[in-house]
This record gives sequence, C-alpha cells and structure tokens, in this order.
Amino acid sequence: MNNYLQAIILYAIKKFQGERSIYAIYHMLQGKKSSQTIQDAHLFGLTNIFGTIPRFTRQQLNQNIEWFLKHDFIKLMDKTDAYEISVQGEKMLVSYLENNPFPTYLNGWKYQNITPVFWGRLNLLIQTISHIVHNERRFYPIQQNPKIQHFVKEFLHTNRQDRVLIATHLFEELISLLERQSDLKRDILILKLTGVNRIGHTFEQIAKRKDVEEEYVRFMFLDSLHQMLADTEMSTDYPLLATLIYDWKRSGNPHLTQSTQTTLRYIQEGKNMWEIAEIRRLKVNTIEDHLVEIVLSDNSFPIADYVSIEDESKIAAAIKELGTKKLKAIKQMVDNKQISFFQIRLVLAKLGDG
Amino acid sequence: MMNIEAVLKEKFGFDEFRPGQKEVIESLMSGRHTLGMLPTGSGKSLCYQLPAYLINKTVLIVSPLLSLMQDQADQLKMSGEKSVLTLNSFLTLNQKRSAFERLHSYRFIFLSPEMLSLEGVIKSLKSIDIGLFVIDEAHCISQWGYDFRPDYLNLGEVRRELNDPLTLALTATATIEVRRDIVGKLNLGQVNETVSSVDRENIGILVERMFSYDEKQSRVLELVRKFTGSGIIYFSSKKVAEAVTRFLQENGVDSVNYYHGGMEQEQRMLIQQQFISGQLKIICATSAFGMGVNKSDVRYVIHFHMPSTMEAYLQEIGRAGRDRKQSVAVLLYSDGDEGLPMHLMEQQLPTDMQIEGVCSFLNDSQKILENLTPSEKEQLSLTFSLNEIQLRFFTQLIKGTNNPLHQVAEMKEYCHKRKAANQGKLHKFLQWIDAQDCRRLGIMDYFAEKQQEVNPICCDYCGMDADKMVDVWPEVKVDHVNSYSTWKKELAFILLKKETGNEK
Ligand SMILES: [Zn+2]
Repeated sequence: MNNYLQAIILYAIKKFQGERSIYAIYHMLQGKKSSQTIQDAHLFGLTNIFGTIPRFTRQQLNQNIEWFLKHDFIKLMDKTDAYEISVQGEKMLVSYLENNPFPTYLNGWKYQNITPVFWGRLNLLIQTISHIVHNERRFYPIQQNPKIQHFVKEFLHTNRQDRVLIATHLFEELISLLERQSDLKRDILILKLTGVNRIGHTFEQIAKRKDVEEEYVRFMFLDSLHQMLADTEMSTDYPLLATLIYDWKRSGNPHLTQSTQTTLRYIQEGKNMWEIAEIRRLKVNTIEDHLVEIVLSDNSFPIADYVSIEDESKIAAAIKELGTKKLKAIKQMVDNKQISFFQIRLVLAKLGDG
Repeated sequence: MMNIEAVLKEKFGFDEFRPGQKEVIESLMSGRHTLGMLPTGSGKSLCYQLPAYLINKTVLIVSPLLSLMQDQADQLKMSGEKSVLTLNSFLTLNQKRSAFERLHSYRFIFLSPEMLSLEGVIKSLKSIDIGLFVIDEAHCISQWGYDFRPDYLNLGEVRRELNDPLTLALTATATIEVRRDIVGKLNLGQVNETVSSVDRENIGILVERMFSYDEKQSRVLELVRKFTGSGIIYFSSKKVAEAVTRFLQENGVDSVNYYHGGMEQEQRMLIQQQFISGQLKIICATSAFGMGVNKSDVRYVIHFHMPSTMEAYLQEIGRAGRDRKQSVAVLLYSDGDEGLPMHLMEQQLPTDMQIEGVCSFLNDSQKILENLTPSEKEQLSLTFSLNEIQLRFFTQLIKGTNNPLHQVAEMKEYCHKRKAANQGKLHKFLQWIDAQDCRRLGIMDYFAEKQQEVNPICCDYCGMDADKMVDVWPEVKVDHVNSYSTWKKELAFILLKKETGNEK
C-alpha cells in the first residue's frame, strides 16, 4: 500500500462488502448530506470516516481504484462500479493498519459540522489571547472567516475576566485534554497553533518534520480534535472549551441537517408527513428522508406512526434472514405490496449499525 | 482647513508623506476628482484613509478582490478604526440587514463591484452622504488594461446614480491609454492626475538568459544561496512551483515553501503569514500570491516564468524593497517561455466556435443562461469545453432574454480585439526582454516617462549582475528561530506570560 488515503479507501471498500458502488465511498468521505449517504454510514458502520475528507475528488478515487485493481487488492462484483476487497487486499490492509493505527476517536458523522468551527474558534482564540497576554495589540487574524472572528470577539466581550486568567485556564484545560492523547497527536495539534512570534505549521510541514505521511497527519489531527470534543462534551472539567461548542450543543440534535431539524420540530408539534410537506413546500419523499435521518440519529424514536408493529417485525425478520441491507431483496422477501421502501428504510435505520 | 500633516501624525503615526500621497490628498481636499497612480507598496490606501478624517463623511471603496478588501479593512481595524464595514456576499441576510440600517454610521465602507449590481444596494447608498468614492485598482475598468474586470464597467453608471460624488481612482500601473480609458469610463470629466514614476530606484533589474529547465532550476538554487533575506520566486504553473520547492528543499534550502490558488485557504494563510513573519524565507508562488501582502523587507523577486505583461511584471517585482533598501529582481528567460502566457491568455476568452456553439444552443433550447441550474451549466461547459473563466464570460455578456444569436458577431469582435490587445502587450514585454538597451529606461518608456537621473545600480545592460548585487546588499537581520522542545513547554510559551525571562 502506498499511503494512508489508500488504506482509508480500502477500509471503506471492505466495509461496503460490494453492496455499493465506489461512488458511495466518494460521498462518504466528502460527507454528502443526502439521506442515502447518511443511512449508508450507519448501515455499513462507516460513521467514523463520514465527511473526513471534504477535499476528496472523484479523480483521486478513480486513480486509487485502478491501482487496487492492478495489484489485485479488490475484485469487481456483478454490478458496475461495485468492488469487494480480496484476500490479498485484506492482508495488506491489516498489516498497514498495524503500523499506522486507525484513529480511534474519529466520529465524522457526529462532529463533521462542528469540527471546523471548533478548530477555527480555538485557533483564533489562542492566537488572540497569546498576543494580549504578551502585550501585543496588533496581529493578523489567522482565521479569516467573519463568523469565527465574530465569535471570538463576542467571547472576549462576555468573558471580562483578567486575560491572563483566561490564558491560564485555557492552558490548563488544554494540558489536561492533551495529556490523554498520544505523543503524535498532541505534537500535531500544538504545531498547528499560532501564537505570539510563531505561525502554525501546515499539514505538509508537520508531515515532513515528523516523517509521516501528510494524510496520516490530517487524520490524526481530526482524531485529536474529535477526542477533545468527546471529552469536553462528556465532562464538566473543561468549562472554558465547552463554551466554544455551547451553541452547537444547544441547537438540539446537533448531527441532524438543518432541514431535518425543522421537520423534527413539526413532528413534535403533532403534524403528519403530508402536512409537513405541504407547509414546507417539499416533496413527501424529502420528508421521508428526514424521518430516516431522525431515526438513524436516535433509534428510540417511535416509528409506529409510519410502520405497523406487525410490518416492522416482518421486515426485521427478512433483514435478519437475508443478512443484507439491500432494499430490493428485502422487499422481495417480505413479498407484500403494502410495504414501501420507506418503511423498510425506517426499520433498517432503527436496527442501526451492526 | 485642518493641517494634513497633523492628521498624518495623529491618526497614522507618520512624520512625513511618501511620494505622491500628499499631492493626491491635496487635490481631493480642493474638491477635484483625482486619478492617482502610485507604485505598489507606496501607501496607496493612505490617499483615501486620511481624507476620511477631514471630510467626516462616509468613504466608499470599491475593490476588485475579496481578499484585498478584507485586508485593507483588517489593517484599518488593526490601527484602531472601528467604523469599518466590508460588504461582501459572505454576510448573512441578518448581518446585511443590520449593516444597511446603520450604513450612515460607517466611516469606511468597502464593497466588491458585484455587490453594487445587487438590488437595493445602490438605493441604500443613495440615502447616505458619500464624501468620497474610491475605485481601487482602477485599471480593471479598461479593456486594454492587463486585468480587465467586466464588473467594473458599471462603475460609471453607479457614479451617476450616486450623484457624481467626489471620486478617487487609484492604480499602480496604467499606461496613458489606460488612464484615458479610466477617466472616460468613469465619466469623470475634469480630473486631476497625479502620476508617480513607475521606477523603483532601489530595485536592480536583471534578466538572465537560460537554455533549459534544469539550468533555470540550478540557477535559482545558486541565487537563493547567494541572496540573504526574504524572497519570492514567481511561476506560471502550480506544478512547477511545487517541483522547484522540492528541488530546493532536497538541496538543503530549508526555509522554502510553495503557495498557489490550488491550496486550501487555511494552509495558504499559514504559508503567507509564515512568510510575512519571517518564519519562512522563500516562497515559490503563482501570481495568486502577493495582493495585500504587506512585507517591507522582501529582498528579491525571481521570475522562473515570465509574466504576460509589463504591468504584471512591475506589480510583482514591486513587492521587493518596500523598505526602500537595495533589492533585486531577476527574470530567468529561455526561448519559448512566452508559450505559457500565450496559452493562458487564450484560455481567458472563448473561441469563435465556442461563441457560436453556446449561442445556438441557447437559441435552440430556448433557455436563458442566467437561469440554468449548476448541473446544466456543468453540462454546457462539458459540451463546449469551456473553462470557468470562459463560462463567466458568457454569463456576463448574455443578459436577459435578448436573442443570443444576435450577439454572436459582436461577441466575436470583442474577443478578437481583446486577444489582439493581450498579444500586443505580451509582444511588447518580449521586446523589452530582447532589447539591447537599459531595462529601466525600457520600463519608463513603456509608461511614457523620462528618466530624471542615472541610477548607479541599474540593470544587467548597465553592467549589474547577481554577484555585484551581493556587494551592495543591505544587512539582513537574522531572526531568532524558536525551536520546539516539548509540547507542554510550547503551549506555555504561547499562552503564559514569562515571569522570569530569557526575553531581551
Ligand atoms: Zn540600466
């Protein structure tokens, strides 16, 4: 195997078991917010890598697929553009990941939206505080996004305490969080930081310095951020960093898309799918996608309004017997014209990963 | 009237003006429309910033590039000015609304030309008292300029709608024809021109003839070993910029990195700031680098590839020596190098076939270009192999429901003219490279200027070369490089104030 990107792609191929075309990998890594991709992330246990390479291109995908084929790492399935990992490929993947362990805290599906925001805020807050503490008033903001800049300004406006005190708290929380992380991860995070008299390093520069691959550095950086996010969410020990994601946590179910959140509000008000479609001037299909997304994010969400308990158990039985997640096969198996693809998708969503 | 020197001292902390600034400001304060041509890095923006404190009305600044605009606004804010608004398409609806409500309260309003074509913007601007209307990079209004932007063409009309406000057109490089065009297109009528010399006396100008890519590459290595301090190496190709970066690194030049438009925004910003702070010494860049980069101690600019016009060349070498200390520009030329800019220029405009194809497609399908969905646009680009710039050409020129077939001839003629103009410029620049004559005189001649006095450190024709440049090289302060010890110490270094100091 040549590089970490290949390992990630091969890992996804393995997980898809030939049931999806390679373009599903493309959408997965890009984090496409379509119901298909969101469902696939859950069905095939790929929520970790969901949306972790937004810059991923089709061309990159195709080149790597070609390379895998040439080296017999994958086999073409009957379907076009669907591949399965070969025994050879499986061996290579295992040994590669032994030397370059898979990031364990990665949770793209959950943190995809907040990660760049959290990093942007943390990055700019540290730069700002660093300059203030060292009595340097003039500096060029390393984060250009006006929303990030606005947030940090507001943050400093609301937290009127002594700046040196804020700096100390920030320092202590970061030390405590990073102490739980691997050497490589914390070095990467620290090297990325910009402060007084030092500008952060690019991923490429860090890779060269640490003598590892750039893509690996990027994944370890994400892993570091996701671990920080998880720790900050879980515990009350990081009050300062928690304020950086306060608005995200408050916005309700943070991993639902904006539009799905609106649909959820209407459902909670007691509206049915058709009414919601009417009010929102959307197709009923779209509302169905939202529902599946809601159930995926919370499989205790009641689905009895949309599929009877009886039908639910029929569908579940078919899924179990077939051992597949293919909608067509499941529908054939239950052999009941009354049962829709939507209902099957709901039950699949409810059964969750696994 | 308040003393302008006093304002200069009080608001900007300077004791004296740089060449050209005072003339422009005085001309504006006497109520005359002004065209100011000041070389890059000579403090152009002070020409409208200072009057703002004397006029006490809103100053409206139109700027072609978002990054440039953001940069100028940031610099104003950094110097303590709070009343700055940047109007761009990134603002949310709410932010826009609240900005418009308080429009009159801003001292500086920056906006991009496309914002002016949005409904309601002009109307809101009409309701406030505009003391000065500034057009930055005004040469963009001229089709014969080297950086024509169709968006700029509406600015004349905008001026009329805003009731002919006092206007300042600023540019760094414009030939006489372009200056005439600026005044005409903006409908300025009577205008006071303040033209500073394009000559940058403290930059030695060297052209070196090369015979291969490899020779160029080794020459770059020699030069960066010879020259101390910060330098920019310009390329027309992202790939070559990266390749030469690697070559330099492999040959022991550590402090070098590349910069181009294909990089992610965050990585680009890091490289740019590393360079400005001195953490990074050398940048291998495409022309995407430099706009708004304020670094005074760039000692040298090397061109690995030639730019396509004299104006672009001056703009790029003008990033050296803003501290007015001795600096140098080295252009490496080998035969056939003009192929690349020629090709790039071709790509900027559609061919006759593409014009015919797109227009008859629109006519046959009865579709309106503005209303096409992104995927329809992608399909259109695929069918007629249009690049982004070419597609934008069509969306800008084909407006509304006019039968596009009636515009074919007009568009073709327009493209021919612009292509001819571009080729003319490239040709003139090549002539300058080939000329057996003083480089500096050649540049001044291009802008119809006469040289005042002979420059002892002039150009390759006048006897300078890279080795002799080293003899007159100014002293370069060697920055202290922070070495990384442990992650904890590093974090403490960033966030905690040192109690006991190894601080000087
Ligand atoms: Zn000369």
